[in-house]
Amino acid sequence: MTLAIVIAGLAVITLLGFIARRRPAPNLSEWTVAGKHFGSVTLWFLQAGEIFTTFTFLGIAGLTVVGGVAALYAVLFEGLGFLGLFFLAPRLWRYGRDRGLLTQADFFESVYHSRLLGVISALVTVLFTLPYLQIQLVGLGSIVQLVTGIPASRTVSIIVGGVLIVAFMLWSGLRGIAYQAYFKDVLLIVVMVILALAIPVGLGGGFGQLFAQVQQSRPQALFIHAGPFDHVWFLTSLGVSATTIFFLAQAGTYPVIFSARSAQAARRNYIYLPLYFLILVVPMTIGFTAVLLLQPGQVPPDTTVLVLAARTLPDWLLGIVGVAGCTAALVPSAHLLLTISTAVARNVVRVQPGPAQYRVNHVTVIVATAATVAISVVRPDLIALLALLSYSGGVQLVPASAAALVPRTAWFRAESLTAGLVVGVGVVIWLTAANINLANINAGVIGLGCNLVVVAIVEALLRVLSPGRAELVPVGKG
Amino acid sequence: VRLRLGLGAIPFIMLFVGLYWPAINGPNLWFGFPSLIVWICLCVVVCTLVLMTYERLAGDSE
Repeated sequence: MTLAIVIAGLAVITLLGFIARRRPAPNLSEWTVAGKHFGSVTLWFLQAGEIFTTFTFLGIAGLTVVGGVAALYAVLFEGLGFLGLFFLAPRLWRYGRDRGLLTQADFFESVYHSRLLGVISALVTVLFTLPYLQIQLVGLGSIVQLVTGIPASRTVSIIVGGVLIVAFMLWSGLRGIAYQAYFKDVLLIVVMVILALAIPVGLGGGFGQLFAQVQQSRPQALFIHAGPFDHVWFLTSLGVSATTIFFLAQAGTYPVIFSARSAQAARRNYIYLPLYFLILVVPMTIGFTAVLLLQPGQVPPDTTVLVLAARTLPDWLLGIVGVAGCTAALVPSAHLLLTISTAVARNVVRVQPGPAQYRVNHVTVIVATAATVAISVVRPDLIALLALLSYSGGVQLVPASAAALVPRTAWFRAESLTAGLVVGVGVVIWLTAANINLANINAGVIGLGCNLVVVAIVEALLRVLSPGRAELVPVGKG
Repeated sequence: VRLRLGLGAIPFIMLFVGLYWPAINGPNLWFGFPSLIVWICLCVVVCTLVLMTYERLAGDSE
């Protein structure tokens, strides 16, 4: 029964990806930004779909089990980030519309007249997006395995998921993701309400009783305190994630903003988007229920939501929860794939814009998915290290995006920003790979500090050697 | 610009107040929920209220 519902759900998601278009997208621009006519509502769903991933679905409860209310950072960072995006998104939209831009690297290349910065920023995007794609596919496999109870379904669902993503992505591009995002975001809200009623209320005796018990038995889970999830961890994790969003350092956001039909549409969707993330309180309360009901180490923390759901829900309802989990994996996967393939086709592989570039894009979709599926099946933990770097690495693009988009800061040269980016990314990778004790400071903060120091030093040297202002294309006012 | 900066600072100030004030960041329950959860949710709502005000200001100036 559960398996049948999950299969039916996957079929519906795939169908939505296909019916978004009668014919395949005719060119890369149409494929990436879908005719540039999306309104605020579609953009709202697209961006909610991009941010609400399997990490959100499974990871928040797991983080609550080990870190208590420290998981709250994931509820707030989007709202703080949107305070900046509200002003910068219309500015970026106007600039991109006038020049036919599709990717973040296009933007850097255009503003700073630097092909090198375009290539390096595109490579950084691919480097830090691929692991996130792997997380989604591994998460998809875990969800299907947990709700169906069939061990072999994990590998099968990862492979089937990969094939389905490639199929509808090659057909529809961003428009397909938008159709799926409507379904996904509504379904997730419904499922979160069901889970809230079934687990904290059904198993925990209601929210009041649940938290009163936690207050008695594990009071330290109710506040941020000294330990691995202390104030420093909370503030630096929240700071890195919010800064990445605030200053448009996330490459995946660029095609979404370029797909808006107007500057107003590009900014208005951010007004109500923070409220969507309030539903993360539900997986948090499920995590608190697990703290009370499960012995430490009894189940892996990230499986808490589905383990408790399986205890309380009938098979058919568990199947619907599984479908919601699958959408939380498939829709962001498609979006990540679009980000990777367009960065490769437009900014890394240099072929003539037109059919050849479109072919490179499609080949990248297939190769990136095949590689990620293979790694997910054979060594699901292989690039887990890089996954830790997603936001820490992404935030290293902040100097370049902020200098281009924030008024009165657009006077850095491409050379200094490129040097800072390379050093920042290198420091983040080194700190994480060497597993150096940073006293709970997010590696992205230290990388960004080094990045900014290098930008300042190189910029100062360049000004001494070659006086005069950098030649920039002004982005203009929002 | 000052008004916008001032409004935008409100959620950030609320965040720091919440994290460092024991009445909020402590093992307390408000309305049956941990006080810090209630406070952070309030910060999220304030983000939307600030953005609504920004939109209104932008509409007035267009």
